[in-house]
Amino acid sequence: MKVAWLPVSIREGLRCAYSPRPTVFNSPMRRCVLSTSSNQFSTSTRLRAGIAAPEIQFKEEGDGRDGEGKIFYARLLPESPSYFTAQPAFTDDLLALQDLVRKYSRLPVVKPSEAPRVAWRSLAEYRNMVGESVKASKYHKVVEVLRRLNLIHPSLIPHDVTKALNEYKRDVNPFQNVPKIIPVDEFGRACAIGRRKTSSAKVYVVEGNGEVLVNGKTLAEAFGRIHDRESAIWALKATDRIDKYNVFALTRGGGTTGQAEAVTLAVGKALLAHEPALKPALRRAGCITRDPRRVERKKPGHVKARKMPAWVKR
Amino acid sequence: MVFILGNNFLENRLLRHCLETFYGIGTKHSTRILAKFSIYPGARVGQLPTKTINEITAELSTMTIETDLRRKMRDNIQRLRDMGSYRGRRHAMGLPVRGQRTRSQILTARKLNKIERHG
Amino acid sequence: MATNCIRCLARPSLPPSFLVNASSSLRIQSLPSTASMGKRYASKLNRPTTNGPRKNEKVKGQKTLRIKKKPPPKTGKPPQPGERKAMRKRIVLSNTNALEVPGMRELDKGLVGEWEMGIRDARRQAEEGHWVLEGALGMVAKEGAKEGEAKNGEGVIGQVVALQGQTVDSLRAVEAFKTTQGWGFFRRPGLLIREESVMLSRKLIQAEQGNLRLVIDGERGTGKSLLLLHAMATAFVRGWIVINIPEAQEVTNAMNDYAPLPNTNPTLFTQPTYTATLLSRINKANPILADMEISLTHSLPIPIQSNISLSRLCELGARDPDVAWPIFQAFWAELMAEGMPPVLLSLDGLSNIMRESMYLAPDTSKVHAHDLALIDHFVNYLSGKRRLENGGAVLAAASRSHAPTSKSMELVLKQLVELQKGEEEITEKDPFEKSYDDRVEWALGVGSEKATKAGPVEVLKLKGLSKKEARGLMEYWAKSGVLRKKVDEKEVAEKWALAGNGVVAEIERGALRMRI
Repeated sequence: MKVAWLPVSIREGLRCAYSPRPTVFNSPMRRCVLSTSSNQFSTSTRLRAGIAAPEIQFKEEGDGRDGEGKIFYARLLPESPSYFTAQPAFTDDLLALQDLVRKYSRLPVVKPSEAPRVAWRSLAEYRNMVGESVKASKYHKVVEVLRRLNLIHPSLIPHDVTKALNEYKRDVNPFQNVPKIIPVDEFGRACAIGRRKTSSAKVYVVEGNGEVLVNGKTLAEAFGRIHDRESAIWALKATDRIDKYNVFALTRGGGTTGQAEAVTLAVGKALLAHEPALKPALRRAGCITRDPRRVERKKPGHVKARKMPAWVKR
Repeated sequence: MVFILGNNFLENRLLRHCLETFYGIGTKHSTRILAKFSIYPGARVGQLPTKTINEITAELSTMTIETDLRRKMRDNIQRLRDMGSYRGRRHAMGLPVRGQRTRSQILTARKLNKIERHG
Repeated sequence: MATNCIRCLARPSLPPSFLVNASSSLRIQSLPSTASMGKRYASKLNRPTTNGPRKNEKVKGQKTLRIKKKPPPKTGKPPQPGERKAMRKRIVLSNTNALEVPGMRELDKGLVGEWEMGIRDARRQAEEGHWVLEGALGMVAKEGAKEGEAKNGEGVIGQVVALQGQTVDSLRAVEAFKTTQGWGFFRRPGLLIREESVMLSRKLIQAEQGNLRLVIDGERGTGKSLLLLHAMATAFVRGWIVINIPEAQEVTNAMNDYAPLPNTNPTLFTQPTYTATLLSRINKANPILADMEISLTHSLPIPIQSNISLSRLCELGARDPDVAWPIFQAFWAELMAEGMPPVLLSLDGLSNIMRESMYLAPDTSKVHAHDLALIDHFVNYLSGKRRLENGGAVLAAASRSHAPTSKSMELVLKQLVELQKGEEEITEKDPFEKSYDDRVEWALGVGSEKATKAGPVEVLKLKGLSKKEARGLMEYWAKSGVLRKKVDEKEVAEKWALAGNGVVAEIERGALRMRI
């Protein structure tokens, strides 16, 4: 049945049925989404779910010229062929990506170890993005395809593939966050900063004969406890290099233990600048990892962080 | 035993403590007396030569201490009483004189405040 | 057994083996001394099993739990007055369990002679222009040092030398040894010879023709008192007369009697008892006094014979505190007379005498330490106001443990060290500091108009040991059997670094006292 026009009541009814948000009629956002729906990867959040077909161009809304002659189908066709699958958006994505793989299967690839490291969106994020309950195993398929696409040689990678990959990359790439390499300057100093509890220490390590100064004081003056002194130069001691380097440390904040262990970390890092090969030894000695523990905050209703007031009957 | 101003003291007592047994001599006066005769604070009574002991006794006898001081204080209280002042009345009643609260803790006043006050 | 004890709340004060025996009462009876104890225990142990189930019930009138405190066990008599102090101050100089260290050199005339040779060589060659004599520190320059090392006694640097028996007696008499210095670890007292001690010895030897006024300063535990001890030992070996005030604190903290000295302005205060003990110490420590006769005539409050020995004079002073101070002055006048040996005046704990003492003047103001006659005497020589006529030295060691602060002294010492180093900027007085003391500056030979002609005192700033010295010391410990470790480069470097760049007391603490 072909009809050139529909009564107003039916028109409105159709719109309501087709629109995921009944309150938004012809909003610019809505249009924007629909107009860009051919390009799936332009935005990270897509509101395509539940939209079967493009919006009907009614006479009044169009500019009037083409509305008169156009054929209007009473039975609407869904825009995407996967509309009747359980997760149409996911299916679309997967198919699109597989298309890309097929399209560029001839391009040269690099070894998996040489491909750029990318953190893909987590399952939860993806579910958020498409608004469907995608199973983990299903999403894994997507990730597999993405990995394959990522293997394409970086210098030859086509623009649309890059675009597609960007869509699935996490917003913050953790692999881009590489620690700065500590240089050894022209005076032979390596400067590093270490922290522990609320203390921080800036340490200059130079080759020398084992002299240690902390805030301009000798180790014995700076730390009364022998244990603290030992932990301050633990990085050197654990690698048998006490008499090979001089240490000049500036510490601030916290107490003696915190300062001493901040120096440990800083000396460890600075020592790595001089001798990178010591990394495994230093890691075993615990001189590379920042100890993230700090004083737990006191909570209301508690006497201390966790201690509760004594229970009193009445 | 050493004899100072009519009192006998054991020889191994600190001179400072001996002086402070007299009514009217506290830390301040004992320190002053020790300094006056160049005696170190740790001096014991037995160590001192008789001459110094005599000098100390002479010094003490010039001061208003013991009975003299007590009499002076009683006279002062009696004067207040005779005037019929509030303070005199409080002394006589054995109550605090200087406007302290009397709801609790007036043991000291009860103990001490009398017309014929002893200490 | 043990669980039973917990239930009846009685602690098994007897060893478990005894408790096992306790259950068989027959054997208990046979034990003579502790029989009654065992019996009581046995009865207590049996009880809880019977009334265990109804322990929660409260019967009226039943005794509640009340644990009687045991009276502390009586062990003999309570200590006599002064006994505990004597125990505290006891100095053990020999430990028979420690190993004998073979091949130790002794600090004797030969060794000191070698150091003397070193000075002569240095002087001779300085004239020739080979060596440089550093003015400030009097140190022999390093370049030529190696060739003559064995000859001029520098080979002994970094070794521990033993003290001769007689020197030890004398040092003990002047109370140069202190309880905290760990003498009891070793078979016989020994001294580490470090660069500074050789330097100081040389200065002392040179001072026989002149005067040496020196303050030993340094961080806590750097060996100031031991360097003073080394100086005294050298002086004894050289036949000097040593007068030592082992703790300046004892002089100024008003624990001794005092008396104003008539006809002095400002009034000086003598300390009769302290002076008397000082005289007796001097007499004990310097046996050579017995051979010296009085050469001058003195007007003393007690009649003395004209030909008695100096030792006898000291004895007279030591016997009667009332005349101790005049006799000390007479004794000092004798020492300053012609033909007497050099004198070493030394004092430990300098900052104690660089402030007001705890004594009170008759007007209850505090007496400045420099107004105490004995300290006044010392300070006159330290400041250079008076000269030791027959040569000798005035040494003072600063102290860092339980020492009062003296702003002026700290400042002056700092300035002098900076001057010696030849630094461009000298620390200036803090304009907002009120506690500076002119008399202190004067005593150290600096200050404005009152400063003496002799100039400021020398300052010897002690630092940590060098690695070589540290190694020598640790090897000595290892040989004595105190340090049970292999002494190698690594171990020395570690201990040296942990001790704050070789602070000797910290090395000792790390190596000997903190053994885990």
